[in-house]
Amino acid sequence: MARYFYMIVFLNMTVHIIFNVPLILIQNRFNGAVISMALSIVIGTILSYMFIKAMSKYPYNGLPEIFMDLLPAYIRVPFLIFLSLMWIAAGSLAIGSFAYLIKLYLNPEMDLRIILGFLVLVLLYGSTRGTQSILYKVEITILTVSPFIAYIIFKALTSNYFYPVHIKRALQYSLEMPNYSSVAAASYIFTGYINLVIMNRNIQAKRILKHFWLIPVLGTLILAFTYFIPFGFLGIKSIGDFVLPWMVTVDTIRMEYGFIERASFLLVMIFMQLSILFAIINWNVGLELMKSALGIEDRKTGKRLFTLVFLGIVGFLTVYFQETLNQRSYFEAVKIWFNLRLPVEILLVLALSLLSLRRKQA
Amino acid sequence: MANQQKIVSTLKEQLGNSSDFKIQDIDSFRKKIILVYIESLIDYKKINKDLIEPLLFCEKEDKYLVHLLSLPPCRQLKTGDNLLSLLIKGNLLIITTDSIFSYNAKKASNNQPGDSSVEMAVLGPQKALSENLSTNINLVRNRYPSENLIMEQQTVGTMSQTSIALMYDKKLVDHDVLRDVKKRLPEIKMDMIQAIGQLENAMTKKKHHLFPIMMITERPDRIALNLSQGKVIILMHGTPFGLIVPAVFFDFMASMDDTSHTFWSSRLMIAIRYIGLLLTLVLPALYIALTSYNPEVLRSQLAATIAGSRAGVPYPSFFEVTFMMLAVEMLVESSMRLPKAIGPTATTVGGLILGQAAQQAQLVSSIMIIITAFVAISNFTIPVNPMSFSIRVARYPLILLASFFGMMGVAAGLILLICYLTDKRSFGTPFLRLYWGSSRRIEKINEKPKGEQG
Amino acid sequence: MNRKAVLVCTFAVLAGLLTGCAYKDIDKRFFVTSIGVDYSKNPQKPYHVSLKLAIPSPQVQPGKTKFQLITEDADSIAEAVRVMKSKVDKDFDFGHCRVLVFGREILRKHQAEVLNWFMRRRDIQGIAYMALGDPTAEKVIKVKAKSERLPSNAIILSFDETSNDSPYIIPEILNDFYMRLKEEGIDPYLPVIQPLKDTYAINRVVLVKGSRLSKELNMDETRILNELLNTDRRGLIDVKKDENEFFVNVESFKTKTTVVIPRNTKPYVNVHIKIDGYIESSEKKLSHNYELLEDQRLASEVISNRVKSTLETIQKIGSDPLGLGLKYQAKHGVSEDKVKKWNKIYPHIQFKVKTDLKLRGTGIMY
Repeated sequence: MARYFYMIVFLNMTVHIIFNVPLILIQNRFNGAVISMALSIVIGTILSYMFIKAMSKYPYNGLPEIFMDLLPAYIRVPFLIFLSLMWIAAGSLAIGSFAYLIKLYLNPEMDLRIILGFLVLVLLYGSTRGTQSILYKVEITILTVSPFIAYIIFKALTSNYFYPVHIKRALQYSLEMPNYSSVAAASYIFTGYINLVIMNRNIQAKRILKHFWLIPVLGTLILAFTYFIPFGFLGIKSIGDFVLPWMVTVDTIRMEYGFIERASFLLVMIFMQLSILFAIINWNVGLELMKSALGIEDRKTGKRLFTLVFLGIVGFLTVYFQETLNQRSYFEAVKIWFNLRLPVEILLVLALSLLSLRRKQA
Repeated sequence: MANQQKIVSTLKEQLGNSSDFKIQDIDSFRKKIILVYIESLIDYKKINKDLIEPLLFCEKEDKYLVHLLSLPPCRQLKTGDNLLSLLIKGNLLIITTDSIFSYNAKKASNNQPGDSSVEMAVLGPQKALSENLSTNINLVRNRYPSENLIMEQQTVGTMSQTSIALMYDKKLVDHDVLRDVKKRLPEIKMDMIQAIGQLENAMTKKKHHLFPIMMITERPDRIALNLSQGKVIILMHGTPFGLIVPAVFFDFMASMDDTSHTFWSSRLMIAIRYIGLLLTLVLPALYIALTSYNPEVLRSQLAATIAGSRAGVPYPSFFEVTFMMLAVEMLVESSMRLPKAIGPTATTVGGLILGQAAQQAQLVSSIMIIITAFVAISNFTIPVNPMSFSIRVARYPLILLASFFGMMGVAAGLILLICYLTDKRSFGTPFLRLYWGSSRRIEKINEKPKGEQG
Repeated sequence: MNRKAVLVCTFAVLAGLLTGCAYKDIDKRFFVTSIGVDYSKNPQKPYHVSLKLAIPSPQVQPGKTKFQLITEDADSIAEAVRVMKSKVDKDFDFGHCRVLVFGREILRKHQAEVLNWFMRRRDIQGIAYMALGDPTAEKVIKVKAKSERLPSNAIILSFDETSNDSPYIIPEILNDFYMRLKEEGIDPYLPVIQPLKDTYAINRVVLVKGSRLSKELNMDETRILNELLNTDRRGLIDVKKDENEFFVNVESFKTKTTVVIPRNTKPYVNVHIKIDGYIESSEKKLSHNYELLEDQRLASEVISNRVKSTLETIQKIGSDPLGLGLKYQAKHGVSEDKVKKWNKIYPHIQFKVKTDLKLRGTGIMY
């Protein structure tokens, strides 16, 4: 059903705060972040339209099934494995970034390894569920979380400490040359559609196209909110002093009549729901891709063992990877992944579009 | 003649000298007619009216036989039939020289529907099912007068031979579910099945499951409503409960009163139920997480109050919670089966005195007493009993997670719970998913993709 | 099945062992409710840090608050806190620290370092109220207010708009202070708290010029600044001219400030004030509408003049709490020479104040 798709897209759009996309953009605030964002909206919209269009030609087929008929095994298998690893990496990086946030704001006295290890265990359970079940969970989570997101945005915009004049000042730097890493980061916001590679088995891509206008509209709104609201609170200079600008921003908001006073805890809880869900989806897609690449059939005896072993290794690597890096180099790694992601995504979309065109002629 | 005697003696041998086993010889039409039955199972009045009286009036044997066969519960037996099992099921055997007839004269027991006592409704119908299968079927048929309503009778239990009835609307029913149910019923290998809950457990494939995937109800109106939603109903002889298959999460949160209230008041009731569900689930865990990991989340005033009331408590918060939860569970468990006369005493002693004393002795904080009471009360807002039990159990993993990981543990626990619930299937129907564009009937899953039950 | 159970148990025990250290009950924490930082006059250990620790009690009653005050001199706040830990029986928890009071000297000398510590700590709330302690921060923190149910709660309540809307109180929170300090074109301010015997007086504000503490505004100027900052605090406006004296109870007060840089003439700041209010007390009886309108005109004039003189005072101090510089930058660019240009314009800029006062009525009496 199409609504699940839009929820995943929405999820991806909100989850990019944890990935510190705003930070990458904010670092480039004087170097054409605004233009990069505008550019990425165009790129993201075009890519997602092409991809959905192409996928709609293969109803109820995931990417592995499509490739099965069209590509020889020596291209198909490595490509699928590579894609699978990209997905898994996205989930791992998200959960790793989130573990830093937890460590900083929720459990400062707890060992980072334990926090991450625990989150990985949660993911292990969550991501081995069926794709359809995960879609149901997506819907429930998004519906419960979005009122709170709306509330925080409302609170932010009506706060006494929100200075729209800062946003005007930030806009003074609109006409700078865009740079690649900002575009790569900002276009990430649209990337939720790409989960269709597996979700197309459960979602009818044709129906998505009916409400396609939602994607650019939502994307623009969310990108604008997430980029500009921190400016309104922190100004264009001091915003560069913070590792997690959004957390500091929300910490400026007080909920006078709320059950809790500090809005930042509300945000942490929202992030928790969203980032775990995001990682669950990514790992699930990565797992499905890997299973199809290696030809491990559903509901056979080997299936459970394989998923557990595979995700166990992934989970261990996630913890190990974070253990070896400090926070700075971790975010650098995220940036590298972003920069790698955009070309891979474009490649994938183009390849699929070409294949689907051939199908039309045939 | 010899044949007649032989049958009787075999039966006698098989049943031993059970004192309620009766053989009655009647001489008429210059022939012998033997009635064989088990006294305790038989309705005398029925025999008198249907069998004995006509016998006296009939002049010819042929005429009597015609009369016999015209009676609906009477049939002529074939050679292969098992006489013994017929006897045990409450049949009367009429053995004539040439043939054997069986006549179902079973004494109906407990066929009066009682007042509903488990799922009460304020404004809804007040009568529940009875313990008699045919009465129940009658009740359901009356409430659901549709020509599409199909009833199929079966027995379960190798020893108990309990008869059950499968009911569904053949137009509306989800045929996958029906097929699944019909496949699972004969697979049950159990000797004694006497309660519908046993049947439920036997039909559930997984051994370790927490949430019920079938709904037990005592309300004929709920059964009728669910029939119209395309569900399959299983009624069992001897219990005043029916089983509804499949059941999803939201069914367990619905009360039959919802339909009889005005729109906004029913919305309020539903909202209160879901809030109650959330509170009873997370409140104890939240208490641990907030007092022991993240007190900065609370408002300063509240934090100070909690810290003050906890100041004298010697144990860490999870002991406090475990202790109070234990007390409350014991209270609930004990008052459930206590005779009605003692029940209030137990609650008073347990609830009031124990709570008060525990707080004054500074074994628990006063905030914890409030939470305990709140948790217990909100648990009772869940309208269907098995669900409220499951939620009670689900609380404990959350408490465990909260005492290890604080707020993160609680949030992760809720995520895991939702993962578990959404992954659950009740006979192929997703247990927890949101339905949109509510139709009064169960949503047929059209977009069922390959390889995955949607 | 058994193996699974064993596995789960092992995990649980392991997790318990590993995480046991982070588990700390609420009664094992000392809540720091306010921090005061003063200059200690010892250049080796310049930071005189005082912490107000709440001692929770089961009965919460007004005036019955118990707290403990501990102080320490050290060469940094972090060091002071560390040393102070050895003086108490429980760990500090800064999560409920809502009041940060500073001495004048320490802000003059070590403002950046002080602020850095508070900003960097994740448990110090970004919404913590900042204030200047007069004469010292420690003396402010020491006060035990009669009405308090919780230590430091009185200060929090006075700064909270939902409980106290006195126009003389201008609250400032940590994150906002930091932004104002860092940003060019807007300057921070700090409310001044004076300890009294059983309570506090908060009715002045100290301005910051650039990043250095500057002069204080008096009560009336503070009130006008508050109104110009568009907070939701409302007050009374007294108008006196010759024989006619009356008070206006303000219902709403909105200001719109624009910086106008015309080509040829001198740059000026346009301040447009819109007030809705009632007459609260008046010497003479207002029997006719024209009298009311006359009062209205009179009051507008008085208010305009007052606002203008306050703005000029602030201008003379050289501080810019209203963020006029930001408004200039938003229009003309953020580059460095623009900022320099503004810094040249600001000391000589003119203020044009226009007040639209609307007296809605005269209350119950004529």
